[in-house]
Amino acid sequence: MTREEFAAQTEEIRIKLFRTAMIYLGNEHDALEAVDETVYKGLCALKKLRQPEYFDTWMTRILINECYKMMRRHKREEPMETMPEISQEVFDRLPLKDAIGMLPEELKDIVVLRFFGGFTMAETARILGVPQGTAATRQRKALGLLRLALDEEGCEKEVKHGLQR
Amino acid sequence: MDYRDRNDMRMSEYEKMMNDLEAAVPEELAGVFDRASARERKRRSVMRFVKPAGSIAAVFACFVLSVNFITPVAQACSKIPVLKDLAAAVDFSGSLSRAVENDYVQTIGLSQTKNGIKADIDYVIVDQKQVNIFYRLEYETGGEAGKNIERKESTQLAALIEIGKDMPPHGISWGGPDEEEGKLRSVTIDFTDSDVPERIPLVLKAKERDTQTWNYSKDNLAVFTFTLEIDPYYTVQGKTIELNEKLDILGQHFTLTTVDIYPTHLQLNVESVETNTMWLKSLSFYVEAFGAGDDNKLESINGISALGSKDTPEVIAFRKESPWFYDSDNLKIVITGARLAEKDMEGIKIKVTEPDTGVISGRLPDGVRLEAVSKQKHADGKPDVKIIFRTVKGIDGGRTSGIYEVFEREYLDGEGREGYMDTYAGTGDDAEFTSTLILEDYAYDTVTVYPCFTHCWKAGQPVEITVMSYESSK
Repeated sequence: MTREEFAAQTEEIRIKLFRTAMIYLGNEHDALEAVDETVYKGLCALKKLRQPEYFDTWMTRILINECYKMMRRHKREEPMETMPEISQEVFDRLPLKDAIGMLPEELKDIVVLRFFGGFTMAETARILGVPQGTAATRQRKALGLLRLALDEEGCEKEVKHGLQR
Repeated sequence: MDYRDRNDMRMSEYEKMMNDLEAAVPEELAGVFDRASARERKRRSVMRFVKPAGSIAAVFACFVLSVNFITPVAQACSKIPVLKDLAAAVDFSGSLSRAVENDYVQTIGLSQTKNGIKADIDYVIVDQKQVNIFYRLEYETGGEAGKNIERKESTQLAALIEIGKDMPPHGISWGGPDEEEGKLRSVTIDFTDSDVPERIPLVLKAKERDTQTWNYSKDNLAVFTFTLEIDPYYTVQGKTIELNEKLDILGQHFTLTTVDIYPTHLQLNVESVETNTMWLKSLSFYVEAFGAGDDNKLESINGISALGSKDTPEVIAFRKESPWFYDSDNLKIVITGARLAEKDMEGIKIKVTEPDTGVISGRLPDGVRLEAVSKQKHADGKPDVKIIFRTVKGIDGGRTSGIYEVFEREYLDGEGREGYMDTYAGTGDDAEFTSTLILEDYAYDTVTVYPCFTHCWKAGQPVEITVMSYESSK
């Protein structure tokens, strides 16, 4: 991939990256910083991308790493008490945004990528480095905890509605 | 609220979140590529300016970026060995070599001189679980204190290293480059139960070491205290991939649960079931990183190579070289064998006094035979007992060049009291290696020793496990 192609493809996905980062980080400043760092690292590592058709998933993987890095950095700066295991009743009472934030990492990743990032199950599994079956199991579990009845068709319909401009 | 109402409410929240996300795009996002491009160009221009000869130009440039690019850079460069010294110093480790090639190095640059001895902490290579410290130790040249040090030909300058007493549980190991005065040396610190702290108090005790016996002098030539400030960028590097693959060995059931991948090492985690009658003590395997060229087989590492359970004798994690820096889409774990220990195994009682020395009771491990027992008296009349075993190489599916501990160091003497002995392993020949147990001042006729394992398993067909592909995204 050339530098120009990288620029063009980044232009196409920058908003999707930003929205994904917003779900993880919760504020515009941090999300913008995460996207900046992601695009910089992607550009530095461009020669390592040997399958350009997986550009989106590759950059998203970098973004997720950056988001977790920032979240861990914030955790060190503002130590948080360890949360006890969250019961279904507690999940039900939380606003959806907070409930997503309370999910274990492996479930949160699925929800963010599938229902806010617009990735298919196959793409999501590839980004996370897990078998599709594992991704599907985690999705069912996450949707159960969140009480979200998003089937495959519904999900794509909602995501297309949300992300197309 | 019934189920349907709750779902409707959640869907409304979801739609609102999606609408909010649509509206929340800041203007600055439009310039994201330009900002990245400017940073990347600046990085490349610095690399051209300071590029020295050799393939590690990129590494040197990133070193310069880690300090301010003004006059003090030249001074800093003159004090710290050029990074080609680091590339040579990590030659013993594939993981660390690749880390250096990929600019994954933090410059520390601390130096102290005491009692005519100079100690420098130059670099660290760090991730979430391991710290590799590269340091130098030498006699000070030109100073008054250095002139007064009596240097013996039969000794060399060496260091014992500890970290602060308040640090989390850790293991310290050596095994890097040969220790020469003024050259880079290395020590590895593994934090097994926690992440690497961002601040590590380090105590370096300079001593003399006998080049014949490898014994350290009792007195310290100097004691240095450093505080390492670790860049948090490095201490968060690591990822976990789920496997959940079942593995049955000799009727015992195990699960390969996850693979943790860090820049410095790969760790394969294993769980067993309570109903197993044997503990897992060793797993023979290697990892192939596809897309990494011919040199894609990941083998043993420096530092801790396996972790044991806190509650049982079982080994629950195994470490290999890291694929972190490979341009690889796939990993494959290839299991070739294992060593297990019966949970209710008994000790092996051996008669060590003539006549008829040999095993009296108990079962020798698979592939192990008793070769010789000897008892020799010193001039002062105290006897030493030497017991030599031979073990078939590769019977556990491991490399035929590999040797390992066959017996624990604890033993029971002729009166049933616990003792602790020296053991060492020899390379033997192509087919077998030797294990020698030494019992000093041992007056009893029998000893009971305990094997590290009882059974060996070699896979008829290697068990191959594909780790789902992931793309290099670091």
